[in-house]
Amino acid sequence: MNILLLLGIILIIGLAGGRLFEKIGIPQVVGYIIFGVFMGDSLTHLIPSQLLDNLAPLTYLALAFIGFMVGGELKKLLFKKYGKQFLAILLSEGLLAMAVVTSLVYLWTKNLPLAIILGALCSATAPAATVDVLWEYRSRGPLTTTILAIVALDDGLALILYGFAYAFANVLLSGNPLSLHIMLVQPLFEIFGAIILGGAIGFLLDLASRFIKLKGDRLVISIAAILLASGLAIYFDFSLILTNMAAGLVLANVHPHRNEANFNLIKSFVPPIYIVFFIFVGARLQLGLLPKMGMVGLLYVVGRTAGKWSGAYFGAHLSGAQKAVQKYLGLALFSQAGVAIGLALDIYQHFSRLGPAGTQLGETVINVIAATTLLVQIIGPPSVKLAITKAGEIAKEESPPAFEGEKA
Amino acid sequence: MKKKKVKEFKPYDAPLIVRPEMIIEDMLRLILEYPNKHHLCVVDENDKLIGLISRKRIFRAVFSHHVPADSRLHELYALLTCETANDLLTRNIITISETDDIDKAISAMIKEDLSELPITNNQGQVIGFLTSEMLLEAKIKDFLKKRS
Repeated sequence: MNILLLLGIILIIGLAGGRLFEKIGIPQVVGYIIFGVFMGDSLTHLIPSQLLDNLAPLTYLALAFIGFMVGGELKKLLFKKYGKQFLAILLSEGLLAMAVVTSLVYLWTKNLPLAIILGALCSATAPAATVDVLWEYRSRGPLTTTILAIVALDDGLALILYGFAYAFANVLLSGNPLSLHIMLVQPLFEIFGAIILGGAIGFLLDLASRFIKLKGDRLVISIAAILLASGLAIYFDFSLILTNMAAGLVLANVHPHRNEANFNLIKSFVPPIYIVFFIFVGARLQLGLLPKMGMVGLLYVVGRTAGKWSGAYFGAHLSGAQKAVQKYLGLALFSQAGVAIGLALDIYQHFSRLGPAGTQLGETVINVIAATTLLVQIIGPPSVKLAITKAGEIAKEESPPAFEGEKA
Repeated sequence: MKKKKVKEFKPYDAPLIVRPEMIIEDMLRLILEYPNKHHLCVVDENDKLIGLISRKRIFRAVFSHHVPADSRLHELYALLTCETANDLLTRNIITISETDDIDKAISAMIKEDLSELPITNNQGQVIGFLTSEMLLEAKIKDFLKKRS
């Protein structure tokens, strides 16, 4: 089958599958992955793994867009009112989840690169499924506000942690003798290199956007900037997703109002690329390997849940957040999707070039993340509902919100 | 209409001026009191225009839970947590001066899909609005003049 015909079929199946799952209350991304599994080597062989390797640039493109859009959400506005509180909660829940998952996976597998990578990936939280629940129940209050801010920032933290984890795992798997220079300078060079490169391209895109007003031209220049950032990141061996996040972050914060159009245009452009991307992730999933990875997957889910819950509690407690936030925020941070999956695929693409150990690590990460995503995407939304219900933030009736002065 | 200047369209549509610290409830009362005004002009202590708030944005903030959940997260956050005019205003706005050609104003309105433009003086203070209705009224007068 030729590639264009196959891509057309993938888009139609993906769209139908996503909508079908949405109808039964399961996030669309789960539908894409399950239909991907169906089309992949584990079942029908419609999308052979050889083809997935040949279409790697498409995957890079999706990763680049994910990074760019995550960067675009990291706006100063989120820190305006509760900056210190959000930062304390974010670091606490993200780092504690990473520490718990890394420790548990390492104790079980004795595989340090795998443990660090899974630890870094676990801090990401899927905004879409979480926000859907908040909106469905018209939730309002301090917990709702905190959830929104944390899910907006969480993926950014995950990308930064991933930058470190990726560089360390790269060093450990490269087979070079370990030294302080290799363990410290190389990872820092890769991370700051990505940030500087992405930041510079973000500034250039901002400058170009000042003169380019037409929507079509804006879309072209934005995509060109993302492709340039991605190509240069690959050339310098920087993290592609982190580079694009830096570009998005700079663009979103230098002239927020002027550049909003760039993000809205990209947002309307990416859905087909995301569908193909998630179907490819499903197609990469090897059902035969799942029983072998059962324990790692279990440790990942347990460690992530415990780390996020306790981290959110400590962070909220230490920063003086309200009781409802302290008690229930952790419950609302279980969902995982786009960013974690994207990073897993990034790991596979990169580490499979480093020999059998790298390929095995890449396959394990993809299988663990894809399988656990299916699980946490199913338990995530009901947990969010439980959190906002317990916190008393679900709207009781369909009426305009009351203002303080009218309540008395 | 080609050679006309903005100042020929006097009297302008009067602006509704508010301070950045005005709360949403008061803004809501104000736009209900003046149903024909499309924007609130937010000014600083020197009365310099710092941004605009449209009726549509106030509506979105009041009913923020109906804004689609797949909107960008920072936008949802901004609408959900806004309390004052400062939280809602759009800062990067297009303004014109009285001495500008009317062509420039019309081009900006069409290009940016705007129904009115704030007119500012040399100190950056808003002195009124040039609206699409004012331009259309002038056009119809031109048509009538040509026919007669």
